[in-house]
Amino acid sequence: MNATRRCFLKFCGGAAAGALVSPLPWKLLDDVSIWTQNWSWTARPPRGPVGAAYTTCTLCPTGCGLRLRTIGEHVVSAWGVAGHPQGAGALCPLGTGFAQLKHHPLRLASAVRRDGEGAWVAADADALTAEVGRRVRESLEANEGHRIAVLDARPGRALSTLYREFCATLGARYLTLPDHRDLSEAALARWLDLGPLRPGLDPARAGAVISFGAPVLDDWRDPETAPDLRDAAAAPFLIQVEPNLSRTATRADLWLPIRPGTEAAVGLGLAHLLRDRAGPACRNLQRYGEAGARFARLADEHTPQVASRLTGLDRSLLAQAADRIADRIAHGAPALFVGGGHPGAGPLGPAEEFVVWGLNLLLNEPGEAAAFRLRPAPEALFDEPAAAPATALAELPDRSLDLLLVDGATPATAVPARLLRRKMSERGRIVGLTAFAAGLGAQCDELLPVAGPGEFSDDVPARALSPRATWAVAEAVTKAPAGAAHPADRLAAVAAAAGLPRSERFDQDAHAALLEARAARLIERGGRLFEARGGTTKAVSAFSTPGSLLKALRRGGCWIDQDAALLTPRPASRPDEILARELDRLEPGRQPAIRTDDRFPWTLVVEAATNVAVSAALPPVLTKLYRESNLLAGAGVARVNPDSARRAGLPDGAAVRLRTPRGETTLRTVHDGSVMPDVVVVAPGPTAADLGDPAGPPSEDILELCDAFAIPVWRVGRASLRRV
Amino acid sequence: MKHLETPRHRYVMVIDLDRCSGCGNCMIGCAVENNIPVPPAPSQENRALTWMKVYRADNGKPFPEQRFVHVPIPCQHCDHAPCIHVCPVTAVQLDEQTGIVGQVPERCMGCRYCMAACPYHARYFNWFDPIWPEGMQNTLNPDVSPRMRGVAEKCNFCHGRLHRAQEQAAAEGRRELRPGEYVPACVESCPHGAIRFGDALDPDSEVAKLIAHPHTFRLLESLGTEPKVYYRSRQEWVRRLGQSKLNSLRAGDAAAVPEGSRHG
Repeated sequence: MNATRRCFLKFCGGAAAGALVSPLPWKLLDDVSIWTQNWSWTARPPRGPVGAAYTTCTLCPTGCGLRLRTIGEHVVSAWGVAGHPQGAGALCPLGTGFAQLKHHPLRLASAVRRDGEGAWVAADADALTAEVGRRVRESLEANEGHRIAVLDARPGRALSTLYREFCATLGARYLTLPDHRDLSEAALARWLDLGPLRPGLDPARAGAVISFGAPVLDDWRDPETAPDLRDAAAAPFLIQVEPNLSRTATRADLWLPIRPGTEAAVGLGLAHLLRDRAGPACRNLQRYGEAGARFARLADEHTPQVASRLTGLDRSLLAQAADRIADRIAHGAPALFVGGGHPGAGPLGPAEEFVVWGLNLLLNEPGEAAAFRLRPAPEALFDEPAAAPATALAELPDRSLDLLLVDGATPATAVPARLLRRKMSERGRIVGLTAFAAGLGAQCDELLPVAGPGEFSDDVPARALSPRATWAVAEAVTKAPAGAAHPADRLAAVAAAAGLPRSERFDQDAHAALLEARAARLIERGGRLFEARGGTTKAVSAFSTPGSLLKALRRGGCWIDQDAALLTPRPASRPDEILARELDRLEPGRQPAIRTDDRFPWTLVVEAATNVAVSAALPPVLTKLYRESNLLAGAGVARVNPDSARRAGLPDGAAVRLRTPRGETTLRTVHDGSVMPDVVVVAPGPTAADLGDPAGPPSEDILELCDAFAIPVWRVGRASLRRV
Repeated sequence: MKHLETPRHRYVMVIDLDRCSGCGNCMIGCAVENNIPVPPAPSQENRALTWMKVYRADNGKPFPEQRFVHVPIPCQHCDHAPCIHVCPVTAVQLDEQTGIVGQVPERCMGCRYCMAACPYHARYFNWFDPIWPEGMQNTLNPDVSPRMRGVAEKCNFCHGRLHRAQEQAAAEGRRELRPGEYVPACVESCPHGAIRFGDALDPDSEVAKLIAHPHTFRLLESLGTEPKVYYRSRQEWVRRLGQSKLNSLRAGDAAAVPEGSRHG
């Protein structure tokens, strides 16, 4: 054979063509790209000894147990603690993303303040503290201590006691942000003179649970109000009363789709029917004085026809609900009515809560071993000296403060973006003692960084409506950034700068002493301790010293009170003007509260997935839920019924201008068949900044457009929608 | 030489759609365990990385007859996985000992044939190098390699946890894992107990019993992929949803219109 040049060239050409269809060149390209990608930002996981730490989550008032996986000094992940009395071994997405919060892009490591254009600029913490102290001193000298306030979104903690003492020393105000459960709990005081007692809901003991919009089957597993679905045979019959088909409503045994804002009417309609159907089980409400008489009269007036007209609900559905409740009662299983509203938006109004508790009192005896129980309030447990009384922020008149110190705990309620500002005078300053420049921190003028969740020992009392008194302590499992101080030390520094005597009574050591004193009180009281490591429970009597109990609590333990004694509180005796006014609007001829018209033809309902998904810094991984999927709607989205949207000329995904009597904003439409016709549902958050994207588009706060906190019922309003 | 018989398993997942509340905690637990990054903000909607993704599907009826259900969909770990057949570089492998379909990022060349082939849309692509906010790389799980851009990735039933459990068992002188000793992150994260996991070859396991229940089904069974993720629901419309029965649609016959046509 003669090998010619042509053969050789053919061979080379064929080899080249063959190589192109082989993996070789692509593998070479691949490997070259890998070799060239030793960028500085290539992530390298931490290395070190693998460990586990137990603590308590403080991201919401529930206080779930946390089992943390650690690599060296780094916390890499958080998981639930099996059998924990709070959370029952489960976490919510916020808790599961716990480890990321320390590295949130808006995490503070040094003091900042707003410049003239509202941007954050670095500041000196000592200088800021001195300035705050000077303002405090000036207010005191002018006898205007009442124009200073501390806002504590998580009252009942040992830190709260220090805040109250600080306020008492100054004559300042101690402000709180009651969430939907706090307000529901407080509403019972309109019926009963509770004294040191608080109501608790125990759905595990109920045969029927009637929820007025409370997300009892979702809201990220809030154990106190979540019937246990793990044993379907024993689960209570769930009736969900709310306008839209929520995640709870779609799984409820019966859904009552009422017009927004008519919870009280449907409650009174049920009361009317239940007095007949469950007659022997009904209590005499006359013993509750004026409240009982008023409730009875309203129930009389809300016949099925009236209730149906007011709520838009078919009479047969109302009757079906009453029949199912009565049937369960007849079989010895109590009915439990749950109010509280939607945690991500706003509470039910006072009239609605009055009706919910009236139903509970109609069908339950408080204090029995029933679904509706009584337990000690946190302040009664610890018997700490009385200090400054608490005032709800919303009740404070506008422009009444010159200085507001904001504690950094995550509020359990959505907070309008300008609520804090409204309470300030023109020269007023808001100073945050916070870990993040997001959430409440975003409403401040100056921020002094403090230790964040998991970075200092914070305690967690039982939250409102818990069936039992509990107490847990969150241990510091990771170091705070160098510039972040213990919140108590910040408070002590302000006190020292203000020239207050004995400023050390507010510092970290004082906080630690308070925790120990609380532990001592619990040893006297008795009860049980759940130990996270091992998942066992033992009697508190096994702990001989407060220090040993505190040590066990710091390791993720949770103290549980003994069962409450049987008590029957007296009826409430104080007249209540707000309630009287609110009840007036329940008179059938004066309904409904929400009237749409040609200018505002849509009913606006504000909802969010959960309370702590708004007004808070969130682990960035939560973009998986809000942006990388459309599982949950964050800020900037208007959910509307597809038929209503088509009639109004609003295609899916279109930009729309939502207008309320208070203002307007631009949103993106999403067609959602679970939304009631002519209703638009908007979430107050989370915003892009909350999710760790400081450069994200700002969104107009929907709560401001709803007059949130300014009127008793603000979770439902009126709106117009126009395509842009 | 003595031949050691390695015990075989067939790990399966059973998801109870009647219990799933759509909270999304499984998505978060998965992301935390497997170092799944957050894509750059402008691309988060179109370039998502969600190994476990929860969809919302409804019965197609108008308000107020509508009912919806949440459907978590991870990789289905099919016995006859289309992605294995189409991968040109053997970056996808079925482990015969466990039934887990694993992805080998080091072999992947980013052609995305596997994504096109997957009928469950359960595969994701790293369009970008993952960038973690400063300090957040200290929260990465060292048992799972972070991936670079240009490679596909998917659920692997947290096989890092399987290896950890096997090492722990070996250290204790055991060859078999105890029930519950190995569970993926999504199973551990679920607050409602909606996701169950176990060895279907163990007749005493909970999953073996659940699989046999008449209310249990798999997605798109007619395709013959033999997925190892099962779903169950008491509601018939939900079970029909899993088959996307378009072949039952006859022209002009409204009654044959399948329910459950929307996916979130």
